[in-house]
Amino acid sequence: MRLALPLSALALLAALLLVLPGQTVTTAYTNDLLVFLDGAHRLASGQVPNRDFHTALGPLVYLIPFAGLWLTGSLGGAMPMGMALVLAAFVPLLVQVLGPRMRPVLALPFGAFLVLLIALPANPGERITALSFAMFYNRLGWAALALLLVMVLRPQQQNLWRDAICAALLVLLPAYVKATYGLAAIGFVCLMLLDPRHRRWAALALALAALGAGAVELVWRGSAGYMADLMTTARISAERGGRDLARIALGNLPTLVLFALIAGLALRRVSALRDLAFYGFCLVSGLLLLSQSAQGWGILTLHAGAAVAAEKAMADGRAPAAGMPLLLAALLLPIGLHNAATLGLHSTLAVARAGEPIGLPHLQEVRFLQLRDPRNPFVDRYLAGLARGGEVLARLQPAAERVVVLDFANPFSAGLGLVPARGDWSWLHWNRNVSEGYHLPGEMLLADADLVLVPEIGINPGPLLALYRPVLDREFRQVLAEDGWTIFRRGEAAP
Amino acid sequence: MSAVPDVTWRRRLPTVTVAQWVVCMALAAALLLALPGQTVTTKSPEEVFALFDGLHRVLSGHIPGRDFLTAQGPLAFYLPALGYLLTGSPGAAFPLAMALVLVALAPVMAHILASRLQPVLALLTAALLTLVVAVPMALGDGLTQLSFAQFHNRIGWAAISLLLLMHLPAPAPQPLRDMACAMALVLLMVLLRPTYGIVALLFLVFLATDPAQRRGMLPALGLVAALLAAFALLWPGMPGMLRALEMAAGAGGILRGSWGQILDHLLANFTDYVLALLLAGFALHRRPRLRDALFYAFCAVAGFWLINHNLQRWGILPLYAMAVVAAERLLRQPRPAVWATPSGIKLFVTAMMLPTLVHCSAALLLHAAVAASNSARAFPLAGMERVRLASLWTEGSFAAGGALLDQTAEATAVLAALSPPPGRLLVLGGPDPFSAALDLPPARGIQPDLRWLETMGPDHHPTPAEMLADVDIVAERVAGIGPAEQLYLPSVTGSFDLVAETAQWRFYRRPAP
Repeated sequence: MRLALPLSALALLAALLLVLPGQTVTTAYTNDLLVFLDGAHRLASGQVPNRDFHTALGPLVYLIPFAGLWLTGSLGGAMPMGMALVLAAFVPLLVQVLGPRMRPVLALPFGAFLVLLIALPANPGERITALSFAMFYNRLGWAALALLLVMVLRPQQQNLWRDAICAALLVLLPAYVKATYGLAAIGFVCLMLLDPRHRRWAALALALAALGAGAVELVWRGSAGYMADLMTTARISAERGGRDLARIALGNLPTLVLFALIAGLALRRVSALRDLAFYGFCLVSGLLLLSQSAQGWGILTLHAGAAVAAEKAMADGRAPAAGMPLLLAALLLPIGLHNAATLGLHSTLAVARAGEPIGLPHLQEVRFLQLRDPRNPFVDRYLAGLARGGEVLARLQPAAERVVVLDFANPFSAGLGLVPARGDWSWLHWNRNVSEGYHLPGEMLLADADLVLVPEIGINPGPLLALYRPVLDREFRQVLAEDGWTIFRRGEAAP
Repeated sequence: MSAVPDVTWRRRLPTVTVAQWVVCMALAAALLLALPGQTVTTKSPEEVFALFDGLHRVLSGHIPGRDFLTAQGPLAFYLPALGYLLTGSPGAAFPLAMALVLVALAPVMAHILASRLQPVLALLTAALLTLVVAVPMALGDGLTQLSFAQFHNRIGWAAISLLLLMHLPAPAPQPLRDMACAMALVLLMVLLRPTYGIVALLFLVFLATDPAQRRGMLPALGLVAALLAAFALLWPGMPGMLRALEMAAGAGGILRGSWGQILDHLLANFTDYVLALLLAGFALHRRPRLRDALFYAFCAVAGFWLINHNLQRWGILPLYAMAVVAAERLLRQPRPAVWATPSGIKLFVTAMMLPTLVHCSAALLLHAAVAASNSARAFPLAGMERVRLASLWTEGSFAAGGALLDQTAEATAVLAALSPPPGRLLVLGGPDPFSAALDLPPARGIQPDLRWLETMGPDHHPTPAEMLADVDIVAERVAGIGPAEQLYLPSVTGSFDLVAETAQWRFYRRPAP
């Protein structure tokens, strides 16, 4: 196959670049990264997402780093290996979806673009100096949705089962990564139901996806918890208004303009209402999804829409058709090269052992490096605080276990190899998944906790301590307050 | 195969029409800017104060370089002054100055683009360069960030891009017109901003050594050299201009910033570099030419050097000139390559320019709409009623700017009430809004946007004696004292008396002898 070989080769190269150094280097969003390493450790300790701990992110967000940890035996290898596994699973889908639908001159650059998007150890659109595996679920969600959108093109040869299976997987993958992407994917397949030419595979895909979700639930038994945690998060996180969407549109103006240009050139020929509806779906779903993430750039459904439009224009075969590959390259190439350079920078820094390991025994292969000029002093203090917290915990008698940190992330269970507590949140982000109005009662959040740690320097320890203070006073006693940490241990308050 | 439609297109749009289109575009943009007769900003009023400080100086008879130190050429001051003299309103001075530049550039642009480029490329480039000059926004800013600050940079970018495009030999050479255009552009840049002037002169030498262009460019080089020699001898501001350049070179260096910052700056323009280099690579692959390779390298390097000296993250316009030259070279090939078809090349250049065209025209229309509707807040300072602070989803800077305007108005009233009335005034910690508002004779000194460690530094600055020589009042911005002001404040507190104070300002006065 003309696609399979080059795309597999690129994915393999990217995977090797990620995995071989055996290190994770982060220069940004370190606290987010710690959440996924904690998640990998929780699964390794036998916990199950949404049953043993609360999270509004899908189970794959925990399974992927866990698989990486299991294969490499190191928390530093967890994320790179996890992403390499995702690449391995994604390439067959890429080949099966793009191969029959797009000519290679378009399919190759678009496929390579998606491979590099998944392999990118940073958030798309951010500076090359902001290396982090944090929010990798967004990249996965975008990539899966972007590939699914290509199915609006009709394949050269109909193959009902191939199409339905691909579509079902491309619905389930984002749904188990981050629900909003799954919702958009389901919305797209439902849109396809309206088109008689697509109806059969779309219907079968929905049925298969439902079956798949049922099968997953049989093993997982966490779907109800996932839904409940999603509802909590949705209630707390503020709604985005039209103005936020307009701001996002302005921030992505170049992409929007090029998308409109390519779609316009394709529409000019065959002005079909169906095509308009598709481009509208790319635009609206992309805007809404981006508004739900922490990034300001990267409506990647538009890149997929542009690739589809380029294929349609070329299939149509009139005047500007011959120019479509170069036009699409103008949209995809700069981003792809930037992502490749970012990946290369991560590997280089990882091989060079740049930066300092995060100061906890099991996180020696996770390194932090300041690439910002000027330095961000907060991160230095935050990480120094974690190292001191680790030292304090290690000295504690009886030995620490089932630790809950009243802050954004808990690096200690994973970093010190402790038995993790059950029943708490994977992370605590004030006014995102915990707030004054909606929060897990302290009796439940801390039900299984033996030790509760409150940092002096953290992302949001202040409001969390105020919120849970009554439970701490009732069921815990303060055993220590030094080196920037206050530690409470379960037990009656000292007389 | 698709070379055929190009030929018919060319026949349908003869060269004259392209030139007319180019002029029409420039005139339309000029009218959009000038007609409302207002300056609108959504950024800090300090940027406007800095512009008005310069305008007030030349209107009061100051000569740039002689009476105040500046790293810019005299045109950066006399263009707005011309705008003022024609309208009698400081608020209309800057929009009108830019409109005049557009009108003056239009024939040059029409000649260079129409004589050298295919119609599509000519029209796209004309639209881009027109909008770059016309848009009241620093390149790379969001489209609600309206401001005339650094306006001279945008003129410089358009002028250097046009000059670079002259690298393409015209199919039907017109050496006399070429000579006139090249001379006008080089002189404009030298007199506007020395960095652009240096690059322009270097490139003129490159053009003059091109056998295909020598007939027009050698005399142009000779005449420019003669005119500049005469200017250097006769212009009274020359010593000051040289001193400011020496200060800038000493404080900021030939290339500014750490290597990390330079890399970051390059990456901010990554998309343009990738697209321009790709086209240039295609063109060289099709037909390797040493002079073309040198030209592309010059665009890539000189373009970065220019932006390195600007307060600007994005917008290396020479990369666009590079892409257009490469595209034109490819389009002139008798047999197009399969991977670079004529329609592909045109669409590629369109893709490179279109986002900026949309962005800049939206900002220009936004400025025109706000200016015409009189909806924003007028500056509460004498002479600045036609300058307006607007909030276009920029509540943060609108609130801060409004507070600054109120504080400035209050301080102006305090100054006006001083007895005896204030004389020459020097502001430490920001640009000077008071001299223009109270119509005070300006003090000698420096242009307010000389920047610490870039255009002046610890070892490169005017002495306190020079700065305070003829000053009657010193205004100290309480919140804004940086290292540059610290150089002068001790001399002020040592020998001047504190005569008035507001929440944001302290005023010192030289004791009566």
